[in-house]
Amino acid sequence: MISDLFYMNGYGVYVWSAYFFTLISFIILYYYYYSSLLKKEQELKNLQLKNE
Amino acid sequence: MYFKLPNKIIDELRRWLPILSLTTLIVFLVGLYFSILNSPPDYLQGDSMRIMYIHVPAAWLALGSYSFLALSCVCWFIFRNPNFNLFAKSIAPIGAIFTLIALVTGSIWGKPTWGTWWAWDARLTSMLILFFLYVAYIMTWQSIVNKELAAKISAALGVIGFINIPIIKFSVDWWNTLHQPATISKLSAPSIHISMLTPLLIMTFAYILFLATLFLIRLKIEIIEQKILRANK
Amino acid sequence: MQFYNLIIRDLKLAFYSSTNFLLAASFLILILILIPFVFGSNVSNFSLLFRGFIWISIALSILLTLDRVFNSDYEDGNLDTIILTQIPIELIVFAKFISHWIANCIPIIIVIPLAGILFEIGIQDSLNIITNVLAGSPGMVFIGSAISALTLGSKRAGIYKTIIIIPLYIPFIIFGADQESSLVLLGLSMIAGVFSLFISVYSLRLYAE
Repeated sequence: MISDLFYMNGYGVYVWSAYFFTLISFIILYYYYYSSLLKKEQELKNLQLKNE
Repeated sequence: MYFKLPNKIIDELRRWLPILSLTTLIVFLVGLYFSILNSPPDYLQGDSMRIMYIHVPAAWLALGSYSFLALSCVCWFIFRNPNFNLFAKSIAPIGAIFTLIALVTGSIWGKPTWGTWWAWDARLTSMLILFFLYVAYIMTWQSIVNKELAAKISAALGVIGFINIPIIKFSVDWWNTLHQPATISKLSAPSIHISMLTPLLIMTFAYILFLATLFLIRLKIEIIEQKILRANK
Repeated sequence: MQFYNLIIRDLKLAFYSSTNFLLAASFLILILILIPFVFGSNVSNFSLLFRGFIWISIALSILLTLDRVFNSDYEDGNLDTIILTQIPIELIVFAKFISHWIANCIPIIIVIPLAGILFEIGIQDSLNIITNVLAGSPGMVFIGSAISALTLGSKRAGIYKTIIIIPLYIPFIIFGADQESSLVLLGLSMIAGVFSLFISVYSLRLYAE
Protein backbone atom coordinates (compact mmCIF):
# COMPACT_ATOMS: atom_id res chain seq x y z
CA MET A 1 0.00 0.00 0.00
CA ILE A 2 2.68 2.47 1.05
CA SER A 3 5.13 1.31 -1.59
CA ASP A 4 2.30 1.58 -4.15
CA LEU A 5 1.89 5.16 -3.10
CA PHE A 6 5.58 5.85 -3.63
CA TYR A 7 5.80 3.92 -6.89
CA MET A 8 2.60 5.28 -8.52
CA ASN A 9 2.84 2.92 -11.49
CA GLY A 10 6.26 4.24 -12.40
CA TYR A 11 5.36 7.90 -12.14
CA GLY A 12 6.39 8.19 -8.49
CA VAL A 13 9.74 9.84 -9.21
CA TYR A 14 8.13 12.63 -11.20
CA VAL A 15 5.13 13.19 -8.96
CA TRP A 16 7.07 13.16 -5.71
CA SER A 17 9.90 15.34 -6.99
CA ALA A 18 7.38 17.93 -8.22
CA TYR A 19 5.51 17.93 -4.90
CA PHE A 20 8.76 18.00 -2.96
CA PHE A 21 10.09 20.96 -4.93
CA THR A 22 6.89 22.93 -4.51
CA LEU A 23 6.50 22.30 -0.80
CA ILE A 24 10.16 22.97 0.00
CA SER A 25 10.13 26.25 -1.86
CA PHE A 26 6.88 27.27 -0.13
CA ILE A 27 8.31 26.48 3.30
CA ILE A 28 11.54 28.35 2.57
CA LEU A 29 9.62 31.32 1.18
CA TYR A 30 7.30 31.52 4.15
CA TYR A 31 10.09 31.08 6.68
CA TYR A 32 12.28 33.68 4.98
CA TYR A 33 9.63 36.36 4.74
CA TYR A 34 8.09 35.73 8.16
CA SER A 35 11.44 35.83 9.92
CA SER A 36 12.44 39.00 8.13
CA LEU A 37 9.09 40.54 9.11
CA LEU A 38 9.78 39.72 12.77
CA LYS A 39 13.28 41.12 12.45
CA LYS A 40 12.03 44.35 10.90
CA GLU A 41 9.36 44.76 13.57
CA GLN A 42 11.98 44.33 16.27
CA GLU A 43 14.21 46.86 14.53
CA LEU A 44 11.38 49.38 14.36
CA LYS A 45 10.56 48.85 18.02
CA ASN A 46 14.19 49.40 19.04
CA LEU A 47 14.31 52.54 16.96
CA GLN A 48 11.16 53.92 18.56
CA LEU A 49 12.50 53.13 22.05
CA LYS A 50 15.74 54.91 21.22
CA ASN A 51 13.93 57.97 19.91
CA GLU A 52 11.82 58.27 23.06
CA MET B 1 5.16 61.81 1.80
CA TYR B 2 5.81 58.26 0.70
CA PHE B 3 2.51 56.66 1.49
CA LYS B 4 -0.75 57.13 3.23
CA LEU B 5 -1.94 53.58 3.56
CA PRO B 6 -4.87 52.91 5.81
CA ASN B 7 -2.44 51.79 8.47
CA LYS B 8 -5.18 50.54 10.74
CA ILE B 9 -6.30 47.95 8.22
CA ILE B 10 -2.77 46.67 7.74
CA ASP B 11 -2.18 46.50 11.49
CA GLU B 12 -5.45 44.65 11.97
CA LEU B 13 -4.49 42.20 9.23
CA ARG B 14 -1.07 41.78 10.85
CA ARG B 15 -2.81 40.66 14.03
CA TRP B 16 -4.72 38.03 12.03
CA LEU B 17 -1.58 36.79 10.29
CA PRO B 18 -0.96 33.67 12.45
CA ILE B 19 -4.56 32.57 11.96
CA LEU B 20 -4.31 33.19 8.23
CA SER B 21 -1.12 31.13 8.09
CA LEU B 22 -2.75 28.30 10.02
CA THR B 23 -5.78 28.31 7.71
CA THR B 24 -3.47 28.19 4.71
CA LEU B 25 -1.65 25.20 6.18
CA ILE B 26 -4.91 23.33 6.89
CA VAL B 27 -6.36 23.97 3.43
CA PHE B 28 -3.04 22.90 1.94
CA LEU B 29 -3.07 19.63 3.87
CA VAL B 30 -6.66 18.95 2.82
CA GLY B 31 -5.71 19.71 -0.78
CA LEU B 32 -2.70 17.40 -0.57
CA TYR B 33 -4.89 14.62 0.88
CA PHE B 34 -7.34 14.96 -1.98
CA SER B 35 -4.75 15.30 -4.70
CA ILE B 36 -2.52 12.42 -3.65
CA LEU B 37 -4.80 9.94 -1.90
CA ASN B 38 -8.40 10.68 -2.70
CA SER B 39 -8.56 11.25 -6.44
CA PRO B 40 -8.61 8.76 -9.31
CA PRO B 41 -5.66 8.50 -11.70
CA ASP B 42 -6.29 9.82 -15.19
CA TYR B 43 -7.10 7.06 -17.67
CA LEU B 44 -4.66 8.48 -20.22
CA GLN B 45 -1.84 9.90 -18.14
CA GLY B 46 -2.11 7.67 -15.09
CA ASP B 47 -0.76 8.98 -11.82
CA SER B 48 1.52 11.55 -13.48
CA MET B 49 -1.43 13.88 -13.84
CA ARG B 50 -1.41 14.40 -10.07
CA ILE B 51 1.28 17.00 -10.82
CA MET B 52 -1.50 19.07 -12.34
CA TYR B 53 -2.85 19.85 -8.88
CA ILE B 54 0.29 21.76 -7.95
CA HIS B 55 1.24 22.96 -11.41
CA VAL B 56 -1.94 24.54 -12.72
CA PRO B 57 -2.70 26.77 -9.67
CA ALA B 58 0.91 27.99 -9.70
CA ALA B 59 0.64 28.91 -13.37
CA TRP B 60 -2.72 30.64 -12.85
CA LEU B 61 -1.45 32.65 -9.92
CA ALA B 62 1.81 33.53 -11.66
CA LEU B 63 -0.23 35.14 -14.43
CA GLY B 64 -2.69 36.54 -11.91
CA SER B 65 0.04 38.21 -9.86
CA TYR B 66 1.51 39.78 -12.95
CA SER B 67 -1.92 41.10 -13.92
CA PHE B 68 -2.25 42.52 -10.42
CA LEU B 69 1.21 44.05 -10.70
CA ALA B 70 0.45 45.63 -14.07
CA LEU B 71 -2.95 46.83 -12.86
CA SER B 72 -1.30 48.46 -9.86
CA CYS B 73 1.18 50.16 -12.17
CA VAL B 74 -1.64 51.45 -14.39
CA CYS B 75 -3.53 52.68 -11.32
CA TRP B 76 -0.37 54.41 -10.20
CA PHE B 77 -0.22 56.24 -13.52
CA ILE B 78 -3.84 57.32 -13.14
CA PHE B 79 -4.05 58.22 -9.46
CA ARG B 80 -0.35 58.80 -8.64
CA ASN B 81 -0.93 57.21 -5.26
CA PRO B 82 2.32 55.59 -3.98
CA ASN B 83 0.35 52.73 -2.44
CA PHE B 84 -0.09 51.17 -5.85
CA ASN B 85 3.65 51.01 -6.29
CA LEU B 86 3.90 49.41 -2.90
CA PHE B 87 1.40 46.72 -3.96
CA ALA B 88 3.30 46.03 -7.17
CA LYS B 89 6.65 45.93 -5.39
CA SER B 90 5.31 43.57 -2.75
CA ILE B 91 3.84 41.03 -5.14
CA ALA B 92 6.75 40.88 -7.61
CA PRO B 93 9.06 38.38 -5.86
CA ILE B 94 6.14 36.15 -4.88
CA GLY B 95 4.94 36.07 -8.47
CA ALA B 96 8.46 35.28 -9.64
CA ILE B 97 8.66 32.28 -7.30
CA PHE B 98 5.23 31.05 -8.45
CA THR B 99 6.36 31.31 -12.06
CA LEU B 100 9.48 29.33 -11.22
CA ILE B 101 7.37 26.65 -9.53
CA ALA B 102 5.04 26.49 -12.53
CA LEU B 103 8.02 26.12 -14.86
CA VAL B 104 9.76 23.44 -12.81
CA THR B 105 6.68 21.32 -12.07
CA GLY B 106 5.58 21.75 -15.68
CA SER B 107 8.92 20.39 -16.85
CA ILE B 108 8.66 17.46 -14.48
CA TRP B 109 5.14 16.79 -15.73
CA GLY B 110 6.25 17.09 -19.34
CA LYS B 111 8.86 14.36 -19.08
CA PRO B 112 6.48 11.41 -18.56
CA THR B 113 3.62 12.78 -20.68
CA TRP B 114 5.33 14.27 -23.74
CA GLY B 115 8.68 12.49 -23.30
CA THR B 116 10.61 15.75 -23.06
CA TRP B 117 11.41 18.27 -20.36
CA TRP B 118 10.64 21.26 -22.49
CA ALA B 119 8.72 22.16 -25.64
CA TRP B 120 8.92 25.52 -27.36
CA ASP B 121 5.21 26.01 -27.26
CA ALA B 122 3.56 29.40 -26.89
CA ARG B 123 2.44 28.86 -23.31
CA LEU B 124 5.79 27.60 -22.07
CA THR B 125 7.74 30.30 -23.83
CA SER B 126 5.55 33.09 -22.51
CA MET B 127 5.85 31.64 -18.98
CA LEU B 128 9.64 31.73 -19.30
CA ILE B 129 9.51 35.32 -20.55
CA LEU B 130 7.14 36.16 -17.70
CA PHE B 131 9.80 34.99 -15.25
CA PHE B 132 12.34 37.33 -16.82
CA LEU B 133 9.85 40.20 -16.72
CA TYR B 134 9.49 39.67 -12.98
CA VAL B 135 13.27 39.59 -12.64
CA ALA B 136 13.62 42.83 -14.62
CA TYR B 137 10.96 44.50 -12.48
CA ILE B 138 12.68 43.46 -9.24
CA MET B 139 16.09 44.49 -10.56
CA THR B 140 14.80 47.96 -11.39
CA TRP B 141 13.92 48.56 -7.77
CA GLN B 142 17.31 47.29 -6.66
CA SER B 143 19.51 49.08 -9.17
CA ILE B 144 18.09 52.60 -8.90
CA VAL B 145 19.10 54.30 -5.72
CA ASN B 146 16.62 57.16 -5.87
CA LYS B 147 13.41 55.41 -4.81
CA GLU B 148 11.05 58.00 -6.24
CA LEU B 149 12.68 57.64 -9.64
CA ALA B 150 12.64 53.86 -9.27
CA ALA B 151 8.90 54.01 -8.60
CA LYS B 152 8.26 55.92 -11.81
CA ILE B 153 10.48 53.72 -13.96
CA SER B 154 9.33 50.39 -12.59
CA ALA B 155 5.69 51.38 -13.12
CA ALA B 156 6.41 51.98 -16.79
CA LEU B 157 8.26 48.67 -16.99
CA GLY B 158 5.37 46.77 -15.44
CA VAL B 159 2.98 48.08 -18.06
CA ILE B 160 5.40 47.40 -20.93
CA GLY B 161 5.80 43.83 -19.75
CA PHE B 162 2.07 43.34 -19.61
CA ILE B 163 1.76 44.41 -23.24
CA ASN B 164 4.63 42.13 -24.11
CA ILE B 165 3.09 38.86 -22.88
CA PRO B 166 0.26 38.60 -25.45
CA ILE B 167 2.65 39.76 -28.19
CA ILE B 168 5.02 36.91 -27.35
CA LYS B 169 2.19 34.40 -27.23
CA PHE B 170 0.85 35.54 -30.58
CA SER B 171 4.24 35.51 -32.25
CA VAL B 172 5.21 32.08 -30.93
CA ASP B 173 1.89 30.71 -32.20
CA TRP B 174 2.72 32.28 -35.53
CA TRP B 175 6.20 30.80 -35.38
CA ASN B 176 4.80 27.34 -34.78
CA THR B 177 2.58 27.59 -37.83
CA LEU B 178 5.61 28.72 -39.80
CA HIS B 179 8.18 26.22 -38.67
CA GLN B 180 6.90 23.09 -37.02
CA PRO B 181 3.36 21.80 -37.21
CA ALA B 182 1.61 19.49 -34.72
CA THR B 183 3.21 18.02 -31.54
CA ILE B 184 1.39 20.80 -29.75
CA SER B 185 -2.00 19.13 -29.91
CA LYS B 186 -0.85 16.99 -26.97
CA LEU B 187 -0.66 20.08 -24.82
CA SER B 188 -4.29 21.06 -25.17
CA ALA B 189 -6.14 20.48 -21.93
CA PRO B 190 -8.89 17.86 -22.02
CA SER B 191 -12.11 18.53 -20.18
CA ILE B 192 -11.74 17.75 -16.52
CA HIS B 193 -13.84 15.22 -14.67
CA ILE B 194 -15.56 16.35 -11.49
CA SER B 195 -13.48 14.03 -9.27
CA MET B 196 -10.37 15.81 -10.46
CA LEU B 197 -11.92 19.22 -10.24
CA THR B 198 -12.39 19.04 -6.46
CA PRO B 199 -8.70 18.65 -5.56
CA LEU B 200 -7.77 21.22 -8.20
CA LEU B 201 -10.15 23.77 -6.74
CA ILE B 202 -9.03 23.10 -3.16
CA MET B 203 -5.39 23.42 -4.18
CA THR B 204 -6.12 26.65 -6.02
CA PHE B 205 -7.82 27.98 -2.92
CA ALA B 206 -4.80 26.99 -0.82
CA TYR B 207 -2.45 28.69 -3.27
CA ILE B 208 -4.54 31.86 -3.18
CA LEU B 209 -4.48 31.85 0.63
CA PHE B 210 -0.72 31.33 0.58
CA LEU B 211 -0.29 34.17 -1.90
CA ALA B 212 -2.42 36.43 0.29
CA THR B 213 -0.39 35.54 3.38
CA LEU B 214 2.92 36.22 1.69
CA PHE B 215 1.60 39.41 0.12
CA LEU B 216 0.49 40.67 3.50
CA ILE B 217 3.88 39.89 5.03
CA ARG B 218 5.73 41.59 2.17
CA LEU B 219 3.48 44.65 2.38
CA LYS B 220 4.07 44.94 6.09
CA ILE B 221 7.83 44.60 5.59
CA GLU B 222 7.82 47.35 2.97
CA ILE B 223 5.82 49.67 5.23
CA ILE B 224 8.15 49.06 8.17
CA GLU B 225 11.18 49.66 5.96
CA GLN B 226 9.80 53.04 4.95
CA LYS B 227 9.05 53.89 8.55
CA ILE B 228 12.63 53.03 9.52
CA LEU B 229 13.90 55.12 6.60
CA ARG B 230 11.86 58.10 7.75
CA ALA B 231 12.88 57.67 11.38
CA ASN B 232 16.55 57.63 10.41
CA LYS B 233 16.29 60.83 8.40
CA MET C 1 14.37 72.13 -40.71
CA GLN C 2 15.08 71.78 -37.03
CA PHE C 3 14.46 68.06 -37.37
CA TYR C 4 16.96 67.90 -40.20
CA ASN C 5 19.54 69.86 -38.21
CA LEU C 6 19.17 67.55 -35.23
CA ILE C 7 19.72 64.49 -37.39
CA ILE C 8 22.77 66.10 -39.02
CA ARG C 9 24.21 66.96 -35.62
CA ASP C 10 23.90 63.41 -34.33
CA LEU C 11 25.24 61.93 -37.55
CA LYS C 12 28.23 64.24 -37.40
CA LEU C 13 28.89 63.18 -33.83
CA ALA C 14 28.70 59.54 -34.85
CA PHE C 15 30.88 60.10 -37.87
CA TYR C 16 33.67 62.02 -36.18
CA SER C 17 34.11 59.35 -33.55
CA SER C 18 34.76 56.91 -36.37
CA THR C 19 34.84 53.80 -34.18
CA ASN C 20 31.19 54.29 -33.39
CA PHE C 21 30.18 54.25 -37.01
CA LEU C 22 31.81 50.91 -37.68
CA LEU C 23 31.08 49.20 -34.38
CA ALA C 24 27.72 47.60 -35.16
CA ALA C 25 28.67 46.36 -38.61
CA SER C 26 32.00 44.92 -37.52
CA PHE C 27 30.34 43.30 -34.52
CA LEU C 28 27.88 41.63 -36.88
CA ILE C 29 30.69 40.25 -39.04
CA LEU C 30 32.59 39.05 -35.97
CA ILE C 31 29.57 37.09 -34.68
CA LEU C 32 29.19 35.52 -38.12
CA ILE C 33 32.90 34.62 -38.12
CA LEU C 34 32.35 32.59 -34.97
CA ILE C 35 29.76 30.37 -36.65
CA PRO C 36 32.11 28.25 -38.83
CA PHE C 37 34.20 27.59 -35.74
CA VAL C 38 31.19 26.07 -34.06
CA PHE C 39 29.60 24.16 -36.92
CA GLY C 40 32.62 23.32 -39.09
CA SER C 41 33.84 24.98 -42.25
CA ASN C 42 31.50 23.33 -44.78
CA VAL C 43 29.80 26.58 -45.75
CA SER C 44 27.12 25.10 -47.99
CA ASN C 45 25.34 23.77 -44.89
CA PHE C 46 24.64 27.26 -43.67
CA SER C 47 22.34 28.63 -46.35
CA LEU C 48 19.31 27.45 -44.37
CA LEU C 49 20.60 28.69 -41.03
CA PHE C 50 22.05 31.94 -42.33
CA ARG C 51 18.78 33.85 -42.03
CA GLY C 52 18.52 32.90 -38.36
CA PHE C 53 22.16 33.71 -37.65
CA ILE C 54 21.90 37.09 -39.29
CA TRP C 55 18.87 38.09 -37.24
CA ILE C 56 20.47 37.01 -33.99
CA SER C 57 23.62 38.98 -34.86
CA ILE C 58 21.58 42.04 -35.83
CA ALA C 59 19.73 41.92 -32.51
CA LEU C 60 23.02 41.65 -30.62
CA SER C 61 24.71 44.43 -32.63
CA ILE C 62 21.81 46.78 -32.02
CA LEU C 63 21.85 45.94 -28.31
CA LEU C 64 25.54 46.76 -28.25
CA THR C 65 25.06 50.24 -29.68
CA LEU C 66 22.07 51.30 -27.59
CA ASP C 67 24.21 52.98 -24.96
CA ARG C 68 24.91 55.77 -27.39
CA VAL C 69 21.38 56.95 -28.16
CA PHE C 70 20.76 59.04 -25.06
CA ASN C 71 23.51 58.15 -22.59
CA SER C 72 26.31 60.46 -23.78
CA ASP C 73 23.94 63.43 -23.97
CA TYR C 74 22.58 62.56 -20.56
CA GLU C 75 25.98 62.29 -18.97
CA ASP C 76 27.45 65.54 -20.30
CA GLY C 77 24.25 67.48 -19.60
CA ASN C 78 23.42 68.18 -23.24
CA LEU C 79 20.03 66.56 -22.81
CA ASP C 80 18.83 69.34 -20.49
CA THR C 81 19.94 71.95 -23.00
CA ILE C 82 18.21 70.25 -25.89
CA ILE C 83 15.00 69.85 -23.91
CA LEU C 84 15.03 73.51 -22.87
CA THR C 85 15.02 74.65 -26.51
CA GLN C 86 11.78 75.54 -28.30
CA ILE C 87 11.81 72.34 -30.33
CA PRO C 88 9.09 69.89 -29.22
CA ILE C 89 10.60 67.01 -27.33
CA GLU C 90 8.85 64.39 -29.50
CA LEU C 91 10.69 65.75 -32.51
CA ILE C 92 14.03 65.57 -30.70
CA VAL C 93 13.46 61.97 -29.69
CA PHE C 94 12.37 60.98 -33.17
CA ALA C 95 15.42 62.66 -34.67
CA LYS C 96 17.59 60.71 -32.25
CA PHE C 97 15.92 57.44 -33.29
CA ILE C 98 16.37 58.15 -36.99
CA SER C 99 19.97 59.29 -36.74
CA HIS C 100 20.86 56.30 -34.60
CA TRP C 101 19.25 54.02 -37.14
CA ILE C 102 21.14 55.65 -40.00
CA ALA C 103 24.44 55.57 -38.14
CA ASN C 104 24.22 51.93 -37.12
CA CYS C 105 21.80 50.01 -39.30
CA ILE C 106 22.81 51.36 -42.71
CA PRO C 107 26.36 49.97 -42.20
CA ILE C 108 24.77 46.68 -41.15
CA ILE C 109 22.67 46.59 -44.29
CA ILE C 110 25.69 47.38 -46.44
CA VAL C 111 27.60 44.57 -44.81
CA ILE C 112 24.90 41.91 -45.30
CA PRO C 113 25.64 41.15 -49.00
CA LEU C 114 29.28 40.82 -48.00
CA ALA C 115 28.36 38.30 -45.36
CA GLY C 116 26.22 36.59 -47.98
CA ILE C 117 29.31 36.15 -50.15
CA LEU C 118 31.22 34.68 -47.20
CA PHE C 119 28.48 32.10 -46.65
CA GLU C 120 27.63 31.43 -50.32
CA ILE C 121 24.19 33.03 -50.16
CA GLY C 122 22.64 33.90 -53.51
CA ILE C 123 21.87 37.48 -54.55
CA GLN C 124 18.14 36.85 -54.48
CA ASP C 125 18.28 35.64 -50.88
CA SER C 126 20.56 38.49 -49.87
CA LEU C 127 18.15 41.02 -51.31
CA ASN C 128 15.28 39.34 -49.51
CA ILE C 129 17.14 39.50 -46.21
CA ILE C 130 17.98 43.14 -46.82
CA THR C 131 14.32 44.00 -47.42
CA ASN C 132 13.39 42.34 -44.16
CA VAL C 133 16.17 44.12 -42.29
CA LEU C 134 15.14 47.44 -43.79
CA ALA C 135 11.60 46.87 -42.58
CA GLY C 136 12.43 45.39 -39.17
CA SER C 137 15.56 47.08 -37.85
CA PRO C 138 13.94 50.53 -37.30
CA GLY C 139 11.49 48.94 -34.88
CA MET C 140 14.29 47.19 -33.04
CA VAL C 141 16.24 50.44 -32.76
CA PHE C 142 13.15 52.33 -31.56
CA ILE C 143 12.31 49.81 -28.84
CA GLY C 144 15.90 49.51 -27.70
CA SER C 145 16.33 53.28 -27.53
CA ALA C 146 13.10 53.67 -25.58
CA ILE C 147 14.12 51.11 -22.98
CA SER C 148 17.59 52.58 -22.67
CA ALA C 149 16.00 56.01 -22.19
CA LEU C 150 13.87 54.51 -19.44
CA THR C 151 16.87 53.02 -17.64
CA LEU C 152 19.18 56.03 -18.01
CA GLY C 153 19.34 56.69 -14.30
CA SER C 154 20.44 53.23 -13.24
CA LYS C 155 24.11 52.54 -12.74
CA ARG C 156 23.88 48.90 -13.76
CA ALA C 157 21.43 49.42 -16.60
CA GLY C 158 23.52 47.51 -19.12
CA ILE C 159 22.81 44.20 -17.44
CA TYR C 160 19.10 44.25 -16.96
CA LYS C 161 18.25 46.44 -19.92
CA THR C 162 18.90 43.42 -22.12
CA ILE C 163 16.51 41.31 -20.05
CA ILE C 164 13.72 43.73 -20.93
CA ILE C 165 14.71 44.34 -24.53
CA ILE C 166 15.29 40.80 -25.79
CA PRO C 167 11.71 39.62 -25.16
CA LEU C 168 10.51 42.66 -27.09
CA TYR C 169 12.73 41.63 -30.01
CA ILE C 170 11.22 38.15 -30.29
CA PRO C 171 8.42 39.17 -32.71
CA PHE C 172 10.91 40.94 -34.97
CA ILE C 173 13.19 37.92 -35.07
CA ILE C 174 10.31 35.54 -35.74
CA PHE C 175 8.94 37.55 -38.63
CA GLY C 176 12.40 38.52 -39.83
CA ALA C 177 13.36 34.89 -40.31
CA ASP C 178 10.30 34.37 -42.50
CA GLN C 179 10.75 35.24 -46.16
CA GLU C 180 7.40 36.82 -46.90
CA SER C 181 6.72 38.92 -43.81
CA SER C 182 8.41 42.20 -44.63
CA LEU C 183 5.05 43.99 -44.56
CA VAL C 184 4.30 42.59 -41.10
CA LEU C 185 7.74 43.76 -40.02
CA LEU C 186 7.02 47.23 -41.35
CA GLY C 187 3.77 47.33 -39.39
CA LEU C 188 5.54 46.12 -36.26
CA SER C 189 8.16 48.83 -36.70
CA MET C 190 5.49 51.52 -36.96
CA ILE C 191 3.66 50.34 -33.85
CA ALA C 192 6.97 50.06 -32.02
CA GLY C 193 7.85 53.58 -33.16
CA VAL C 194 4.68 55.08 -31.69
CA PHE C 195 5.04 53.28 -28.36
CA SER C 196 8.76 54.00 -28.12
CA LEU C 197 8.16 57.67 -28.75
CA PHE C 198 5.74 57.79 -25.81
CA ILE C 199 8.07 55.88 -23.49
CA SER C 200 11.14 57.92 -24.42
CA VAL C 201 9.37 61.25 -24.00
CA TYR C 202 8.03 60.12 -20.63
CA SER C 203 11.43 59.03 -19.39
CA LEU C 204 13.36 62.00 -20.76
CA ARG C 205 10.94 64.38 -19.02
CA LEU C 206 11.56 62.34 -15.87
CA TYR C 207 15.32 62.68 -16.07
CA ALA C 208 15.35 66.30 -17.18
CA GLU C 209 13.47 67.45 -14.09
